[in-house]
Amino acid sequence: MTMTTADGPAGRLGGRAWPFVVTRNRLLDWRPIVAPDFMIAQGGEYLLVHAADPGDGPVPSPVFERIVTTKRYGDLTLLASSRPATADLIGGSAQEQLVDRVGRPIQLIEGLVLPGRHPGCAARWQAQLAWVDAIAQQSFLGFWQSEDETEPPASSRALTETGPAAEREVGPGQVASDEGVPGDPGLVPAHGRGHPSPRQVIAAAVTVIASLVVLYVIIRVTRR
Amino acid sequence: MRTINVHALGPSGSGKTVFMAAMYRQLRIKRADADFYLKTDHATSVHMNSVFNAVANPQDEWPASTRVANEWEFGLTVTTPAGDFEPLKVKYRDYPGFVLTAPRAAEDERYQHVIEQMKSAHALLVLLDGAGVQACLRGEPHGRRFLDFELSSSLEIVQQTRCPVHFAVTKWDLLEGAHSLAEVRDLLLGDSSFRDLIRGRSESAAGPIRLIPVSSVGTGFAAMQPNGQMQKLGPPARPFQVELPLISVIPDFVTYAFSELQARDQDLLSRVQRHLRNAESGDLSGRYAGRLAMARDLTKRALASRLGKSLKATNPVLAALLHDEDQFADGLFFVVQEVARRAAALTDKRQAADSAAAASLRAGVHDQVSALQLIESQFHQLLTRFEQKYPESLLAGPRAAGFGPQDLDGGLLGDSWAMPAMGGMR
Repeated sequence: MTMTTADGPAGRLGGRAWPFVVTRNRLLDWRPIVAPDFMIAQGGEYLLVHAADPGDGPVPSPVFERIVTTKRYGDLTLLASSRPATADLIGGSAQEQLVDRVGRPIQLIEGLVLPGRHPGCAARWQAQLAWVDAIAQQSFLGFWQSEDETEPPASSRALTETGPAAEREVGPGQVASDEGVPGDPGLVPAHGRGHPSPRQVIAAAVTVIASLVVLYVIIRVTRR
Repeated sequence: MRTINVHALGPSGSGKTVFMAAMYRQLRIKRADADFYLKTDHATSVHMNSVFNAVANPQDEWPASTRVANEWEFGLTVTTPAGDFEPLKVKYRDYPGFVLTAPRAAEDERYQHVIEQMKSAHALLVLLDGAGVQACLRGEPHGRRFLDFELSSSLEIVQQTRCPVHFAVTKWDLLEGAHSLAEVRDLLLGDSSFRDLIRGRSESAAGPIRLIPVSSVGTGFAAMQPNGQMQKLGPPARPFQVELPLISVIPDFVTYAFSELQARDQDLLSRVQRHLRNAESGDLSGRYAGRLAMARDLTKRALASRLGKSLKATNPVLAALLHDEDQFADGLFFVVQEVARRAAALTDKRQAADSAAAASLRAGVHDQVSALQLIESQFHQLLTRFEQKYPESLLAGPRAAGFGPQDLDGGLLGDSWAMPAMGGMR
């Protein structure tokens, strides 16, 4: 599949970015544990492992930008950063570095995939990168317990540049969404099978209260 | 200049990155008993040294596991009174472990290409995790995964090649003293897939398969904790036999090339050997070089193109390496001469012949071909010594010390061809 790019004739996917998370656990080697739905559908999400490799620099790394050209998806812009995977991700101390089975430190590489070429776009997506960190935290615990080499990553759906759309998210087995993309093949079972985050609980509560208030207002208006 | 492509594969945690750094560390300086050293570009040298220094420093963490495929190129440099020569480059391709073990990685176009590349290697280096081997020998659960998953994924690649294969048992410091190489060999041969692979190789003229114990840090440097992690203890790192897989590549490739030539066109090869013997029979000072040049020229005109075409059809990897424009005859002569030299060494008093031959080769180095002959000769001697110390290390193929006259006269699959006995295995 060749995706229509933001710079392409249609520009249909402009202003959207898909979250991804690359990491490993004690036993399983490096892999995406969250990847764009359109990449998983094509079986090409492993390109994130090498395309978003931060190199041998210091960890945590600053946000870096990569533009890659692929046969399947056309040009892609990746925004990513790496940070140490610490035990608070699995309910332990934030001071404890997680290591693999032979004692090597583990990192989390978190970022966004933008279809097309978008040099210098990191500043515009800063808020959404913070959102990806929350997705990573949500997904890591389930992955940490996995020993299944065949398990696919959790699929992510598009975030937009604007804040409110990015906040609207999370359905069952889904780690982020707004209105999705045409031809969405649906969502696969995710590594991110952990409990909802406090942020999600608050968002749900606010939605319920707001709905009740709106309902109350409608009833009062119609009774007059 | 020719380049030998060695592809290194092994699952995550088998120690590929550290092994590569330790090997470079061992060979970057010319040893007292050899005339060669490894040379590389500055960036690779800095990287290798920084990885090894991090490993060797008890205060540092182990290096993070590899996420991307790497390529390392080393020049085999020969120092002689006539100057320095670099007749051969060895290019190592080091793949992340998930290429072998993660089914979804196999769907990625980049890694599909990697698998195809592996099949065209001149030699394969398969790193077997010594900790996994130890777990198997102890009957621990992790050992089952090692055998059923990590080992078998490497075998699929090996199955599809004919080149020499070196299984390096890493972290030998964990096994040394408690287990022997024969035990490890029997454990591996107890796996039906591994046994069938070795049996298949033994019945063909493909490259030798060796089992080589190595340790990138040496005995006493680190110990395994109950949770499986390796803890550094403090003594200095002393790499053990990390240079042997590289040293085995050239002699084993010559053996492989010769057996391949023999299998493809025995008649033509016999004629090349005859030309060579005729040239050497007139070994009077001053005339030898001229006769050799004439024989090479005759071979080039009369035989090389026919054999080249035959090889190109049946083994394009080998043909590409031997056939460098019109230098096919040189490559052919090199292989045949090396096998003849081994045969001569077998018929003479071994030590004296080796020493005399080495001295003669060293004094005679004047170009890339003669420098390559010196390297092959020294590597062959080192490999022979290793085989004498670990006779069980050869899983398939002729012994380095035994590949000689009987091969020149005909049957390749003679008594010197190894196939470990299958009896008494678990």
